[in-house]
Amino acid sequence: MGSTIHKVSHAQAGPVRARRRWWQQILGPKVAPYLFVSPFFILFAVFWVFPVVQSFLLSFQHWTAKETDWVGLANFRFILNTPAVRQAFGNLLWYAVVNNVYQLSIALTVAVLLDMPFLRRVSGLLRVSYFMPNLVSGVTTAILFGILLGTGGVIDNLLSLAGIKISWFQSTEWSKPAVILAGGWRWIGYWVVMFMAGLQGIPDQYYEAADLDGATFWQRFRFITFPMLRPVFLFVIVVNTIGTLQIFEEPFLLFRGGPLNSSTTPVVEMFKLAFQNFDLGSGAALGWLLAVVVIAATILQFSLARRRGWSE
Amino acid sequence: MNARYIPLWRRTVITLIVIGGALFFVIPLWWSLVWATWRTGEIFSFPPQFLPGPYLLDNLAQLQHRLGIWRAFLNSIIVTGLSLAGSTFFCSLTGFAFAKYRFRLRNLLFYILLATMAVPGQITAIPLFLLMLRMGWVDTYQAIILPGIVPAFGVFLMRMSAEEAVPDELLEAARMDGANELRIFFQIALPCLLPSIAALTIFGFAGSWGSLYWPMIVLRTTEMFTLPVALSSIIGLLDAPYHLQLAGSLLATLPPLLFFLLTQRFFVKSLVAGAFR
Repeated sequence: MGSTIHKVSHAQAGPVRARRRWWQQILGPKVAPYLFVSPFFILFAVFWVFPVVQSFLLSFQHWTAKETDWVGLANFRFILNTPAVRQAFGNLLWYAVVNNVYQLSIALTVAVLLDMPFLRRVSGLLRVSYFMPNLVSGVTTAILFGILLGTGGVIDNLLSLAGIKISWFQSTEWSKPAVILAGGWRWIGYWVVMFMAGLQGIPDQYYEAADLDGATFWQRFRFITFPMLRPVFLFVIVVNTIGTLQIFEEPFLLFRGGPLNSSTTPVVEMFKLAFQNFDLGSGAALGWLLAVVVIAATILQFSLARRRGWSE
Repeated sequence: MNARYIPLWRRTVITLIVIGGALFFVIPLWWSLVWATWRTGEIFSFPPQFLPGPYLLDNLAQLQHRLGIWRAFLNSIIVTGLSLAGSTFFCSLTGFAFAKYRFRLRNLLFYILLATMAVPGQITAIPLFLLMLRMGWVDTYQAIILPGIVPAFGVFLMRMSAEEAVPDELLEAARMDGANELRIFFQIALPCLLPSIAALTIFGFAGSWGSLYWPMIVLRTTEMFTLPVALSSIIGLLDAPYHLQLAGSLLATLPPLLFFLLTQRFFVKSLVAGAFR
């Protein structure tokens, strides 16, 4: 209402087009996009861009509540000489390989089986069953597997029925597999959902043509399913690797990184350095070291995929 | 059809494999809920308990006494609710602007977004903690909510959605009718974006509700603890209160589970859309 009256009064005052009020200009198509993106980007600058930059600077500083000194590469030298950190990166390689092989081989198998035509009526329900653990938080997963694997827990009992005794929480050999088991329970269903989405995108005609040629199950998988699934597979393996490289909740909650650092990871060590020892500089240095590893792994996977012609 | 004929015995074996496999995923989940109603002795019984027992209220009362679990539940609701409301709003506003306007800083801002996404989130925790110290925001809601309210991937998702779901003709028509851009956003773009907003909410809910790392760093007192932080504080203790851990877990698991069951049809679609975009 106000604006019409305003325009009318101007029109009466002269032949010139009505001058728009300041708020009309701001809400016009020239200024509005800035208005729209600014709340997000102000917060994004304060809570993401600035911390990323500052953590980079911090990694070359020694921080105390009173003062910060530039110390060059001393933080990096310190963390690389810390046995727990070295072990953390060693463990990380193990986790990355085992987690990908374990989770993705099971998830792909399940997805391919669930995609079979004769299971179509129940595949939705089954997919939901596999997926549901993904709704559970890492804390609950850690609590649950702490009980299942603990002395007198279900898995412990089942294994001793078979005459096997594994002390998951005391041995340095079984802590990493315990982390993998717990993580796999939570994530395999998620990959099943992703793979099934990819499988449903493969046109039936390809399979029909293969059937006419008398292709076996393996031939169909080898020459149709897997090649058609490559983009999804690449996505899944990249995301799973990034997630695994940043693994924290299971090793921290189940083992606090122990026993004897056997399950620890860079994020666990970063948490300990920065928020338990309050050596923020070394924590930041470790964080950036991990960042380099994550970015390098991602680039490596994409370039390998490109070289093998997986992605266009 | 004949070529794809699979013998009955093979079909049976495959069916048994996929159902048996599914049980490995569902049964532990069921146990995590059911055991919240038992005490530590029964939790470790073998064969394990499959049916609910009588101790849930007792366990919750103990947990309330020890940790103030209902307050933690409320904290989680507040934090998750505000995070999701804020992030969906900011992301749709920003995604819409990126999709439908050409402005000078557009590409620059988008590259900043991309570059920041490449860096793992945990390294921001240390400077963020210093920032919160300086602002005096340690142990507050805003300290948990604000960093999570601007997820970069949300902008990507909303930008894609806005490009597809908001027709340019509709925007032009509204402009001809004299609507200002803010009104265009709220009355035209936002309704078109509602399915994507729902997808973003679904996609972000479980993550926000279960998040531990940053809340554990920035929260100090039990009154401010969210559920995951409260639960993590009773893990690994000498008296090992497993029944209390599980009772708390039940509270932590039920909301995302119910949310999932209510939105199920839509849920998987959102998940896939969120992931592949």
